[in-house]
This record gives sequence, structure tokens and C-alpha cells, in this order.
Amino acid sequence: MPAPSYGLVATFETAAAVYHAAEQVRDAGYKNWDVITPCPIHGMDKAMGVKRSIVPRISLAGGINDDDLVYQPV
Amino acid sequence: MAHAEHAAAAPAILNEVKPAHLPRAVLVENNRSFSWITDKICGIIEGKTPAWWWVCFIVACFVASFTVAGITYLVATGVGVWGHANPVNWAWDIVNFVFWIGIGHAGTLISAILCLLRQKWRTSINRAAEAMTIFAVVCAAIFPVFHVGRVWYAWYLFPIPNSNWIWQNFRSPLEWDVFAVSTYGTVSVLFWYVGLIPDLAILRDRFEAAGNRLRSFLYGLFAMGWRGSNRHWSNYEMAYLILAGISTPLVLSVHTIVSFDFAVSLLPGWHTTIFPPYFVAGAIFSGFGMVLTLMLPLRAIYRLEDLITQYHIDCMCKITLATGTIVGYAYGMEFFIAWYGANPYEGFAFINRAFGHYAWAYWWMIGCNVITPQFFWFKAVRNNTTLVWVLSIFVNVGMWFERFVIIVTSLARDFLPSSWGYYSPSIVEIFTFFGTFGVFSVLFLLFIRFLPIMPMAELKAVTPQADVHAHGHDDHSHTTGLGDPIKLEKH
Repeated sequence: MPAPSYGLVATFETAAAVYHAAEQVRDAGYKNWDVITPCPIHGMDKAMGVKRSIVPRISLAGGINDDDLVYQPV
Repeated sequence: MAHAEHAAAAPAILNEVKPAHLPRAVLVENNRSFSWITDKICGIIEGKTPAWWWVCFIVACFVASFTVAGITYLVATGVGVWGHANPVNWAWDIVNFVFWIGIGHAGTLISAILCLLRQKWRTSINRAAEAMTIFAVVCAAIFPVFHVGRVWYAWYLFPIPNSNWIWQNFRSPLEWDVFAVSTYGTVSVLFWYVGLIPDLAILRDRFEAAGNRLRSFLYGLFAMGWRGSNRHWSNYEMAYLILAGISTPLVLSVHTIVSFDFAVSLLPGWHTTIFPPYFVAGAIFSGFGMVLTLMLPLRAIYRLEDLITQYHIDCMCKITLATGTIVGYAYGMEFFIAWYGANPYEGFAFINRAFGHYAWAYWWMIGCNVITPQFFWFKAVRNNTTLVWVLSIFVNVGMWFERFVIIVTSLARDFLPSSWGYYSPSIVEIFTFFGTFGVFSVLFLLFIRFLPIMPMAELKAVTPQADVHAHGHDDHSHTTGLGDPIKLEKH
């Protein structure tokens, strides 16, 4: 009996190939998957269905919090 | 081809005027692959330390020892070992501070403003330019910190609530400088580090594969678990964009505030409104001079012609030309306003600059800063790498003289002829300044030996292979030189 598979890995030769593959995986409804690339691929967020990064909100919260600390009366 | 289709759909007038086909500049020559870029940049770090590196490093350490010796002597003896005396109470210390701070500005311009403007030619030079910025700030900081005399009180510059009830003079531009420069240093380090993360991960994996556990661990520590996942890239690109946005005002603010050190005073020759834009243009001018001085030898030594192409050199030369011309205009405008303002002291200050005791410095400045960049109008000059390098040295020299002329000539001849004087540097400050080139070189040599000198991921992102819509090599993988590649989508 073969060992139960933990996951699947596929390699792609071109950026276009991994991009279109990502679109298909997204449309197939997979949740727990990722695309690993040596550089940011333009449009990959959309192809993967990844939401907008929360980094701006974290930055804003950090900035406001820091202001709050700096201007505390001493 | 997309061009042909585009032309067919265009008005018939194009058939009559026969527009020239302008080939777009390629950012990575010879259609290099991802693995070639990785091997090329990592190879610099992984290879055996070249003999020239050791020679340069030892010489740089020796030169840096002059700064250490000069500062040690100053701290042990007192700030009087420098040549300052009434009326010239600011001299080489502030000249050298402004000189080094100015150099840093090209790095920030390349990493922040050119990033926001989507100038893709920044990719191959931004890492080294940002390193240059940080090391220049280190060299710059030495002077104001030690010119306070009793350096152990330098922390009084920071408004730390303390039991001594010392509060800083917030109306002084010198205090603003503390904030401007420390913010600048911090953000520059952050920008540099964020850019390094994906490349450190590449080095981590390569050293792991090569069996070098220690270096793999160290690079891995700073790569913070980078895997190259698209979820990482998504956050990474957003963080980079935010940092670019935060740094953009810094390109303008830091040297504006440095210029306020002078402009806010009432001294003739300093008290002018043109100073902020004039200083910012001068800073970017000097910074690009230094980028050319550093990058052209690196390009030759490591055979990086495919990554720093002639197009990159052209772009850097053109920015040097533009900012150098702004500086030349500012010199002329200063003279015009001195005359037009009809203030006899102001008029005297400028006549004195050009024809007084320090005229030799003034004409060095004019020669290097006004005439040198004008050579960059000519393609033949820009194509001659050796000549570009020599001219970049003149830019560096000229910008040092600019600060010397502004600071020293104005102070040496102020309102009262009875207090006039002539400043000459002491041997201690000559040594201290000379040594900062060693400090800078030591740091830069360590950088090129241990860190990737170019952002590999960003270079890959501007190659045709990274474009998911690529139909062919010639379609829209290139830049127009005007910014983003023009999208000639077929669908």
C-alpha cells in the first residue's frame, strides 16, 4: 500500500506556465496551496486569489501607536 | 508583431511621415536567464576572496586609521586641535558633514523616487547605491558628533526626558538636523535590509547546499524564513512600496534642513531662499557622481556589463547632467539676487567669493560642478566608461569645494572688517577627513564581499522571462526609457 500523500509539488519552466496553473488551481477551489517563485510575478495575486496585503494596515496602526507613545506627557 | 498591428490600426498619416522605429533599451543584456543572474551575483560572494580585495581592504583600513587617530587626539585634547577660530567657527567639520550627507542622496533617490516612478533601470544599481547611502551617513555623522567638543554630551542632542531638565532648542535648525539625519539613517537601513531579504534567502540555500552550515545559518537568520512564496512577495512588495513612499520626502527634506543650518542665519551668502532646492539638487548631483565612481569599477572588475548596461550609464550621466545644470543655475541666480537685492553686504559676499582670498576654491567649484557635467550631453563621452569615471571624480571634488566655498568664505568675511580672518585646516582635521574615505571604503568593501551587490530578485523581475504575458522577446519586455514598458497587449 503506497504511503498517503502529504502534498503535491509541481515545477514549471516559465512564468506564464505557473501563472496559468495557479489560475486553474484557484478555480478548482484549493485552499491550502502556494506558488513559489524566484521573483515577484506580476498579477500572481489575482491568479492565486490572494487578498490585498495587510501590511499597510499594520504600518498605519504602528505609526498611530508610535505617535501615541511619543506625545505622552512626561 | 505587436508593432506591425499597432501601425496598421494607426492613422494613415503614419505611412506618410514614416515614424522611426526606436528600439527599446534592454535592462539585462544578452537575454540572460534567472540562473545566470543568481550565479553571477552569488558567485561574487562564494568565490575565493580576490587578491585585489585584500590589497584594497588593507589600504582602506590604513586610511581609516587616520580618522581614528584624529578623533582620538581631538577627544583627548579638545576641539581646538581643529583649525577653527573666530570668525570661522564652522569649517571643515560642517563642510565634510554636508559633503558626506549629500552623497547619500543618490541612493535614496534611486531606491525611493525611481521606485515610485517605476524607473526599472534602478534595479541593478539600487543595492550598491543604498549601501553607499548608509556608509555615507556613517561618515557624515562623525563630524557633527565630534565637533560638539565634549562628545560624551552628544546625547543631549536628543530630547530624552531626563532628570537634568535639559530641553533642546527646537527653534534651531541644528536640532532639526538631528531628527532629519537620524530618520534618514534609520529609513535607509530599513530600505536596504528589506530589499536584501529575498537575496539573503538565496545565499542561505546555496551555502546550505554547499555544506557551509555557519554561513547558511547567518544568512538564514537575517532572511527571516523567506521561502519565495507568492504570499511573501505580496506582503514584501507592499512593504517596499510603503517604505518608498516614506523615503520619498526624505530625499528632499534632509538636505533642505541641512541648508537651513545656513539659510536661517543672517549671514550674507547664507541667508537666501534658494538654498533648499539648490542643496537638494547639489546633493543628488554629488550622489550620482559617487554612484558612478563606485559602480563603474565594480562593473569592470566583476564583468557586470550585462546587468549595468550602457543604458544604465546613460541614465546616470543624464541625471548628473540635469542636477549639475540646476546647480550651475543656482550659482548664477545667487549672484543675480545678490545684485538685484541691492544689499551691499550680500553683494560683497559674492564678489568676495569669486575674486577674494578664496577665489581659488570658488573656481575649482565652478570648473568641477558647472563645466564637468556639460560633457555628458555627448553620447561619445557617455560611451567612454573611463572618461565618465574621471568626470565623476571631478563631480565629487567640485561638490566638496561647493560646501567649502559656502561655509568658509561667508564666515571669513562677515559684517565687521575688524573681525575678518582666513581659515586654514589643521593637520588633525585634514587627517580626520582623509580617513573618512578609508572608513567608507572599508564598509563598502565588506559589503561587496559578504552581501549581494545587486538585487537578484528585482533583476529577474525586469527580464522578459518574468512577464506572464510575454509573447516573444521583442514585445514588451523592454523599457521605453520613459518608465514602465508600454503594454502592447494582443488580447
